[in-house]
Amino acid sequence: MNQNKNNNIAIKMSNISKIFETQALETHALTDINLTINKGDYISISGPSGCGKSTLLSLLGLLDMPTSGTYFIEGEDVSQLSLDQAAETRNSKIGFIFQSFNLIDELSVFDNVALPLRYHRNKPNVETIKNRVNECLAQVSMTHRTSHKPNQLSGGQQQRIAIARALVTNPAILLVDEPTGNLDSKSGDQVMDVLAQLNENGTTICMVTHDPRYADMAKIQLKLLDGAILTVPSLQIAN
Amino acid sequence: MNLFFSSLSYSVKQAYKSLQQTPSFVFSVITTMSITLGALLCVLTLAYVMLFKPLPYPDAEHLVKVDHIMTKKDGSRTDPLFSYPSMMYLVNNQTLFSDIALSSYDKQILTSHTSQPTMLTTYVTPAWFELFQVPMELGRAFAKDVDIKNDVPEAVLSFDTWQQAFNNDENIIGKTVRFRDVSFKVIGVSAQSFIEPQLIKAGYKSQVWLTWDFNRTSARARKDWGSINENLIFVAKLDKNNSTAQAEQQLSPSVNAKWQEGVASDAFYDGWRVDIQVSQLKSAILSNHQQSVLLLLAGVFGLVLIACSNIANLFIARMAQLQKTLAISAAVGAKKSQLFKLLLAESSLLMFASLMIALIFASVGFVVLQQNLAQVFPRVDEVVLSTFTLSSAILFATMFTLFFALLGNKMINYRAISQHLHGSGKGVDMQISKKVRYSLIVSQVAIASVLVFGNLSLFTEALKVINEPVGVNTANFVDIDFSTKRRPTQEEIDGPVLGTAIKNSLLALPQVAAVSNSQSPLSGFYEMALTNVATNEHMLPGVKWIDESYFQLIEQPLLAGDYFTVSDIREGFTGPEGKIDNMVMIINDTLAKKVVPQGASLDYALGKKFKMDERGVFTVIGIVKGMKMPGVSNIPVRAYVPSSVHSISMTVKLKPNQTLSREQVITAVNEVTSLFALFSMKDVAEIHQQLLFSERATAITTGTLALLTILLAALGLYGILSYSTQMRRYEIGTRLALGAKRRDIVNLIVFDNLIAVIIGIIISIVILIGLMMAFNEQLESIINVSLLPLFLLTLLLISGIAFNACYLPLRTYINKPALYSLRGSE
Repeated sequence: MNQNKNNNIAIKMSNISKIFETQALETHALTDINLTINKGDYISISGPSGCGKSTLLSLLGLLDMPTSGTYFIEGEDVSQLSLDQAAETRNSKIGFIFQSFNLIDELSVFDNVALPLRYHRNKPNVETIKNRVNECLAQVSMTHRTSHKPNQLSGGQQQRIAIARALVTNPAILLVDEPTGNLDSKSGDQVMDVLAQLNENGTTICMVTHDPRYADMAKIQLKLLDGAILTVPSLQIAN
Repeated sequence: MNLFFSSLSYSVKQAYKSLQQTPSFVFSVITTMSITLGALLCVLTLAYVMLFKPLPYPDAEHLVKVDHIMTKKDGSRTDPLFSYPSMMYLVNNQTLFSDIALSSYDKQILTSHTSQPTMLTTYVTPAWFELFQVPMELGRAFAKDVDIKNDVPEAVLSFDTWQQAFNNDENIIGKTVRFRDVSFKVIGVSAQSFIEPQLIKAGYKSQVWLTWDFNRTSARARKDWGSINENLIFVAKLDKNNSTAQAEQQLSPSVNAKWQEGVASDAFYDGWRVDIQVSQLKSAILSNHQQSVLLLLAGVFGLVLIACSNIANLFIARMAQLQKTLAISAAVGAKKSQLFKLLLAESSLLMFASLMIALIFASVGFVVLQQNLAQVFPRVDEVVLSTFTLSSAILFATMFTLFFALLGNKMINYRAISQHLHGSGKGVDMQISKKVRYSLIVSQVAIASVLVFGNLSLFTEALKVINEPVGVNTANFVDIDFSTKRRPTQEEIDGPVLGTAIKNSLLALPQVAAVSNSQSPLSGFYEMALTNVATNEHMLPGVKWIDESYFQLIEQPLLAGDYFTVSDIREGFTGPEGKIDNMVMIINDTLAKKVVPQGASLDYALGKKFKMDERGVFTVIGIVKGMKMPGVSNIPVRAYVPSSVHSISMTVKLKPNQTLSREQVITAVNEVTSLFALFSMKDVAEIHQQLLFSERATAITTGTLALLTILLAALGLYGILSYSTQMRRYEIGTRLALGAKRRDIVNLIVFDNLIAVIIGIIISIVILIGLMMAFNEQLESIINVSLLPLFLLTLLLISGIAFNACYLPLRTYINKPALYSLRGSE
């Protein structure tokens, strides 16, 4: 039973703190964060500017290392990884969706989506890559634009490509940072629909947003204030 | 107008404040620009003086140098040198020249002076001072209207001589100076501002000018039409109505006819011909130095290109930095022209500061040129901060100012500026197009490869010559020459042999290991006409008079036969007395090979007989391995004949770690005789260094240029690549976030720029091949297979720099958590 329960945990953070040191100043960005995300969860993290949302998302995504605490992804300790080990874990376990899409302008839509597979430890063959990319593009309904360059697409379309890219390696979790921040409301809604649909189909999602309307779309809503989690109501339900 | 100035001063103030914010940008631009501009101004002024500036003498365009060229039977020509009778015949039998200045260059001991210094004395005809309009510090010049045969011994001191040897003696006029046993009355001192025409060689400065007729051409040489003298120079003012070609046509036949008469009795000159060559004095002084100065100019222009490309990079990066300021300025209503004015003000300030420092660098460069390269480039004394330097400085600075301001202006994307304000700042950051970045990399690599390779090939060529072994031992040798102070007394002539006595006196010095009664191996050879008695074949080998211990002392290997013995050394003062047809000679293998039929051993040359003019017939008794003079690529034919017991040229071998001072030698000689003064005393190693002077100058110049090029190219490539990496920061961050490892990112950047580097290298190969085809003749001697590894080395160097320029800027991003690259994009 216990084993089963652990298998169901996508992410577990215990007592995570992050301190930024600049010359004489120490900023406690996060203090004692405890967070568990189960497989299939859809979590939103919201809070005012400067509360530590982005820092938390960076730590979750192994883009930065915590000052203290432990962090497990699918049971694997990722608290103390080298830069290259972190890269490998990001590649296989984490899918990123950024506010500004971060697509690479010189690459076609297809190549943008395929990019994580090219950095994969066991680089798949051409055929596998092709199938997997098309599969992911289908999930975001973008199969008709594979040879376009990102700047030929609308913002909403670009963000859907970014979602396809995040899905391509079958990550344990999608980390989503203000996905609608650079979009008009119609495109924003479309993107949120895609995310909701993905979660329906079993994808674990953790989203940072300051837009209460979209935060509410998540099943679990965390509020962050001054580097600490303010409310964890739904987590208790999950437990 | 007032408004214009207040707007100008506002722009300058703004620019100054703005530049204060970016000290590293200012430092990089000013350093690069001032070094480059300094080098450019220095070389440009040198080139201007050498190639274009009129000589600083009146009627300079009509001054000509007259040369006497002998063409041998086989059509080859001798160096353009006069024989004394030819020169005097020409002086007395011509109507084309209005003024004639003859000079005979010499080196003698000033015996009237307490420290008996050796001085560069130049015998000149009366018109010499008039022709070059020598300004006088004191007294007067030689009277112009006296006959060339004037026999009043007079002297004019150079300003430096008057200062150094006579302590600025205001009462020097009327005193006498004595060279050998002739006392010359000092009639004047030339002014410091006088620039002596460098007629005999670059950098030559006469110390004393003496009355022509006292020149030391021997009574025999004054009548010998075949004996050419490298110290005789003929300069004249050509009539305005005649061209140099007309003068040559008119003078050659009569001089040739007279010369043929003069040498009729000597079979050696059968089939020879004499021509008179008249050339502009300016081009005669420039002679073959034109090529070196053009090469130097090309090198410096290459540097300028690299520097411009570097600074262009810096300005482009600066524009990216200024984007926000410009956007805000635009938002509050700044027009395009006003933004340009700001850029122009910034660019002007930077170039002005660079220019000021460049002028200092150039002035330092002039001093360095004058002190170190006076013997390489003629007329460097005239290379000073001139109107030419200043106007070209202003011209270049203005050009660069406009170029960089326009470049900056072109880089501003005015549409993007407005977006910058409307949008959230995402995706509208100014980016330099890939094409511009690539072309900057391509040009940097191409120019740097060509320059580095060119300089390295000249550098290694010079180094090869410098390090080439001479083939004999020259360590711990001192070359000593004496000269007579006066005519010997009868007692001295009849008394014991002074050469031997001086030799023994030197040998008695504790630090001396051995003394040979010969000039040192590096002190040169005398070209003498030699006739093979059996075949009547003529040749002009270099001849040296040596004693019996010479070859063993310098360890020059004997290939066949024997060395000289003591009994071979001549006993007479001048002539060989009684042994005229029974003298011996040792030749080098180069000469032996000319005598020996193909395939036969060198021994064949032993016993062969050579006649050396009236000195007599010599029998070859030995063959030595030829020695190479430093800085010379081949071993010419040479012959060695026994010196006389009276010879006062000595080569002294010192014991290890010992030194010998001038005073010790003078004391040793004075114990034996008062007839001789020490004429010259030089370490053979020092002579070796002097002979390699031009190679060392080449090595230093090309080495410096290569280093500067590498430095500038490295800075430039680093600049453009670090900028382009900075521009790709978010892309790199994204890739890292998606799981790219450090190696993946390094590969990405390296491969991305590889194409540009390869194109640059291909262009450099095309340029090099083009240069080789265009200058095939001049480069023939240095183009060979050994250049291939050097070229590979150049490519390796440039690629290494390019790789590091790719990798180093990346370290900031790939050695930190991925967040640092992404930060700011969110």
